[in-house]
Amino acid sequence: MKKRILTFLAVIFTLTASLHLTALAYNTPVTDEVGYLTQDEINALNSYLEQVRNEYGMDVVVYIEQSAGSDNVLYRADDIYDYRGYGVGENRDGIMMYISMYPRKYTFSTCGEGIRVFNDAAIERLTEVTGEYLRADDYYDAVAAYAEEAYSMLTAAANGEVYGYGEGAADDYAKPVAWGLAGIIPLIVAALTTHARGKGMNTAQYNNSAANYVSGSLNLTTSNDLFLYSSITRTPRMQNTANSGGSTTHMSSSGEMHGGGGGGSY
Amino acid sequence: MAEIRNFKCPCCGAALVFDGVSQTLDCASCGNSFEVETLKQLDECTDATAKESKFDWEHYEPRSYEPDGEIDLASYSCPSCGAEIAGDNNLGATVCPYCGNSTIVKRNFEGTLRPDYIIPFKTDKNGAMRAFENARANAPFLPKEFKDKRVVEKMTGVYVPYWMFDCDCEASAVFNATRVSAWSDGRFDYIKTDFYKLIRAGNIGFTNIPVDASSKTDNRYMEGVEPFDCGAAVDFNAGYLSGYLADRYDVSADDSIERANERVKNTAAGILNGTAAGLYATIIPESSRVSFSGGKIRYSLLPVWMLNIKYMDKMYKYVINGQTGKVSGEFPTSKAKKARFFAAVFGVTFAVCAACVWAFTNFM
Repeated sequence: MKKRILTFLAVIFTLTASLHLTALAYNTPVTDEVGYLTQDEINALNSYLEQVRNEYGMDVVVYIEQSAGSDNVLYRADDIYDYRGYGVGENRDGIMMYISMYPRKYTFSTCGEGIRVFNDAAIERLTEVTGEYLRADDYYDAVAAYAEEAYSMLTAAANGEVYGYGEGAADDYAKPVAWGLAGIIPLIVAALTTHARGKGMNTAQYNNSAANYVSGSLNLTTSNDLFLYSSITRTPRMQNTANSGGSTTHMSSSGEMHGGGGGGSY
Repeated sequence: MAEIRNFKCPCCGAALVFDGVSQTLDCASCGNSFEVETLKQLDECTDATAKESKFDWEHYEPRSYEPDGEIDLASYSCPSCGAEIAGDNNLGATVCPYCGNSTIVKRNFEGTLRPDYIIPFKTDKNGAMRAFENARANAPFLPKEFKDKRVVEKMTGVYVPYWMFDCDCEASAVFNATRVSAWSDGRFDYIKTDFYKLIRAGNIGFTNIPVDASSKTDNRYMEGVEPFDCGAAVDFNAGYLSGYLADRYDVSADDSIERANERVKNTAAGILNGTAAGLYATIIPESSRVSFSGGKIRYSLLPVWMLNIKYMDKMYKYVINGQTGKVSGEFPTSKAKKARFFAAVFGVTFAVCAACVWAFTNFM
C-alpha cells in the first residue's frame, strides 16, 4: 500500500513538475536556444520583463534560435509567437524580438494591443536601438536596450502618448518634411505667379473662341445626363489622436493579426 | 431583320451580357450593370457626334472696285516686306505699317476688290497712343528704360481686310462627367465617384466671326485685338479711307474657312459644356459635332492702328483696335524685374509657410 502511495505521489509530482516546467517554458520572457546569453543575463532579463508584464499587462519577450528555416524571419517570428502562446489576455497583447543565427537576421512581431503601442515608428526606433549591438554581437545589450525601450514606450502609451505621435521618431521625419514643404511650396507659388503675371507681357494671342460673335442665345434641344456607374475607393483612416498608431499589419499562418517588422540583417 | 447590337461596357469596354432576371446589361469584367435604355441612348448620341462635322459656306464672289470720285486713291508698296496697300493720295510721307520701313513707294492706284462693309475708326491717333501707354504701364516686367529709350516710329491707321463669317448651326456634344462624394466611418475614408455621360444638342447662331485676310499680319496680333463691334459696320464707302491706309486681302475666303470652322466648333462645344457647369466635379469633352448649311461670307475692312517701336535694336510691333483701343503686342521683358518679383513672392510665401510650420511644430 505504502509503495502504491509513493508511486501515486511520484506520478503527481512528476506531472506537476512537468506542467510547471511547461508553463515556464511558454511564459518565460527570454528564450535563448543558441546560448548567446549567460544564465545570469537571462535571469536578469526575465525578472525585468516579468515586471513589465505585471505592470502593463503586455508580454515583452525575446526569442533567439539557431535557424529560422527560411529567409522570411517575420513569419517565423509570428508563428513562434502564436504557437508558444505568447501574449496577455484574449487579444494576446505583446511584442516579441526574434533573433536568428541562420540567417543572421532579427525582427519584431507584435500582437493585440502591441500592434497599436509598437506601431511602425516604434518598430523603427527599436530597430535603431538594437541593431548596433547586434552587429557587434553584443546580444545582451541588444536585448536589454530592446527591453528598456519597450518599457519606456509602454509607459508613454499608458500616459496617452503613443510613440510616434508626440515627441519622438515621427518628429524626426515630420519636421524636415514640413520645412521641406515650406521651401518647395513658395517656389511653386512664385513660379506660377511669375508665369501668370508674365503673360501680361504678350497680349498677342490667338483667340480660339467666337463667343463674342454669338447671335442670340443657345436654343438647347437635347439635354440628357446618363448615369453609368459608380466606383468607391476605401482607404484606412490615418488617426491623429494620441491613442492611435500607424501600424502595418499582416496575418500569420494561424490566421492571427500581427504587426511589427523592422530589424533586418545584422 | 432586326439589327443585333452588341453593347460594350462604358467602364471597361468588355462585352455586356443581358440578364433576364434583372433586365439589365451586366459586365462580367468589372461587375457593373446598365439599363438597356441608357445604353441605347448613349449609343445613338455617340454615333451622332462621331460623324464628321458639316460646314457648308456659300461661295464668295469678289467684286472689283472702281473709284467713283469719292476719294483720290493711291497705291503704296513697301520694298522691304512687299506690302501693297491702297490709301488716301494726300496721305503725305508714311511708313509701312507692317514692317516700319520708311522708304515706302507711292504709285498710281491700280484698282482693288470692293469690300462689303467697313467699320470706321472710332479711336483717333491720340486715343490709340493713350491706350498704348496704358497697356505699357500695365506690363509688369517692362524695362524702366523702355519709356525713354524707345524710338516710336510713325503710328499708322490701317483698314485691315477680314473675312466675316455668319452661320446658324446645329451643335451636339458628348461629355464624360463625374460627381464625387466622400464620407468616413471609424476605420476607413470612402470616396464615391459617379460617372455620367452628358449629351447636349442645340442651335447656335454666329454673326461676323472675323478672320484676318491679310498674310502680312500675324494672326496672333489680329485676334489679340478682338472683339470688334460689328454693329458699327456700314456699307463700304471709300470716303472712310480718307487719312488712312487700306490693305487688300491676299488670303482667300476659302483659305480662311478652316479657321472660322475651328472657332465655331470650339465655341459651340464650350457653350454646350456651360449648360452643365457647376453640376459636376469634372466635365471632359468626348466628342462634338457642328452642322450647318448656307453659311455666309462677307469681305470687310476693320480699323486698327499699327505702331512699330524700336528698342535696343529690335523692332516691337503693336496693333491697337481702332474701335476699342485694345492693344495687342509683345513688350520687352526685364529679367531683373522678373527675378525681383519672383523673389518677393517667394519671400512672402516662405515667411507665411515658415510661420505655419513653426506654429505647427511648437504648439501642435
